[in-house]
Amino acid sequence: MAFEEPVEFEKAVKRALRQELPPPDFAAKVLARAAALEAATRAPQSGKMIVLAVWRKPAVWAIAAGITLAALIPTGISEYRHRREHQAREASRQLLLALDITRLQLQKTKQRLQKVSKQNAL
Amino acid sequence: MKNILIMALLALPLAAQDSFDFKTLDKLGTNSKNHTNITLDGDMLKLASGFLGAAGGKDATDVKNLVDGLKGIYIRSWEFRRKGLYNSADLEPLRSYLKQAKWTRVVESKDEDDLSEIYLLPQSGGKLGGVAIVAAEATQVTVVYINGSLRPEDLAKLSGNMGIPDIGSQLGNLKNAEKNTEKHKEED
Amino acid sequence: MAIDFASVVNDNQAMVFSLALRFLRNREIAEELAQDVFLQFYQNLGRIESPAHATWWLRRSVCHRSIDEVRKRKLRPAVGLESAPEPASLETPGDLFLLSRIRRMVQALPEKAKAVVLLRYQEDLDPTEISEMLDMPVSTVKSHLHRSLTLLRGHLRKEEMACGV
Repeated sequence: MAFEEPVEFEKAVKRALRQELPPPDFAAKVLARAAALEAATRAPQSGKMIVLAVWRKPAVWAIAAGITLAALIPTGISEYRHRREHQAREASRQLLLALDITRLQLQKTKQRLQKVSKQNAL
Repeated sequence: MKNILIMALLALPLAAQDSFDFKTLDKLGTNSKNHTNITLDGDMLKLASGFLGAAGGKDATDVKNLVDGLKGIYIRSWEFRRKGLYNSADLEPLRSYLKQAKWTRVVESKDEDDLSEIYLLPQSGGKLGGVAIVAAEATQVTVVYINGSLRPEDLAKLSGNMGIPDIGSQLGNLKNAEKNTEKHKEED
Repeated sequence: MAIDFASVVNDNQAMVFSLALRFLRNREIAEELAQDVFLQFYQNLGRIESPAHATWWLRRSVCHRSIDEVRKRKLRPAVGLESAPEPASLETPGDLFLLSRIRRMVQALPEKAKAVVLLRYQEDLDPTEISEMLDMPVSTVKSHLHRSLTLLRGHLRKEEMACGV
């Protein structure tokens, strides 16, 4: 369908380029990585050997897991909210697409009617 | 070639749809190369409308107003590599349903291989109980089924700037036909 | 003003991911890059003054990193849109898939032009904001916009004519 007005084409480009949703667990992954980064940054700044020895201790792993978990627990709560928001975004994206399709079909029908009218008038 | 598939958000049982069973149109897609499937029931429409409403803006408000009274929006579309790969008789289940459910065909337009039909379900108070569009072209078939309460002016907004004066005049005819029917009933 | 990292991620993840995806055209790579952008942001949290600043920072970072990544991975199509061959058979003819066709064409634009179009139509920035974001003169931004839209519209018309619409 050719766009008669540049403005109509720009609107179509805007619709085509609506934001895409990331995977539902994207935020959780980012926060977990940030927590791990934080844990790694706060590790003692001593020599390599000592750092390796420290990381071999189960207690350190437990602490690191605890920090990650502490970062993740709030995300568990926000994960539900995020999923709901993800659903809402997806629903709204589908709604807008459905309305676009409906609009296109109505416009096509009108154009067809106009064409037939012109042919009948001739 | 990549199939463009928009998955239904929910698989709706017939009872929940309170309307047409789209499974009866599945035959149309037997030889299709692409198909589009959008199913938005009341809950999903509310979710979407709430989300859009929160975003603000005139467009979002218009969409929200349009969607608020709706029970469902269903889109099915199939694309074919060439003409002759679907049987238009496979659309009859929908046409039969619309006829028996008292929908009125307000537009029928045929141009070579292309056929468009628009059905409206009149409601009291000058509103509509639904809009259905059946568009059968050489290499594409599209069905739009909107169920629920909407105003004719919302339908006009949906068609964009071009408007649908034909629908408007058809609606006028419809209203007059209703009035005449009521008048005849009184006279009988 | 203390910036809450989790809120920033929540509010901006769609923007960052979406921009990365439009450049890289691969969900896995886009997700990876988007995560890296947020991690880099996390490391610079102290310099961020407000949520609006956060959004600005993320947008700028994802655009620049995406362009670099495309160049590194040589993800650009072998030909630009201008010299693309006439469509012999269309992937998705018909108005119904118009939007995906437009997306495909935008993704085929050269990287700088694509960045301008994405920031204008996906992110709603004006040419001055785009010029600051991409370190590009405003006149160049406007030229990219004008040329890209003309190109896209022309190519769309060619496809429609080939389809007999």
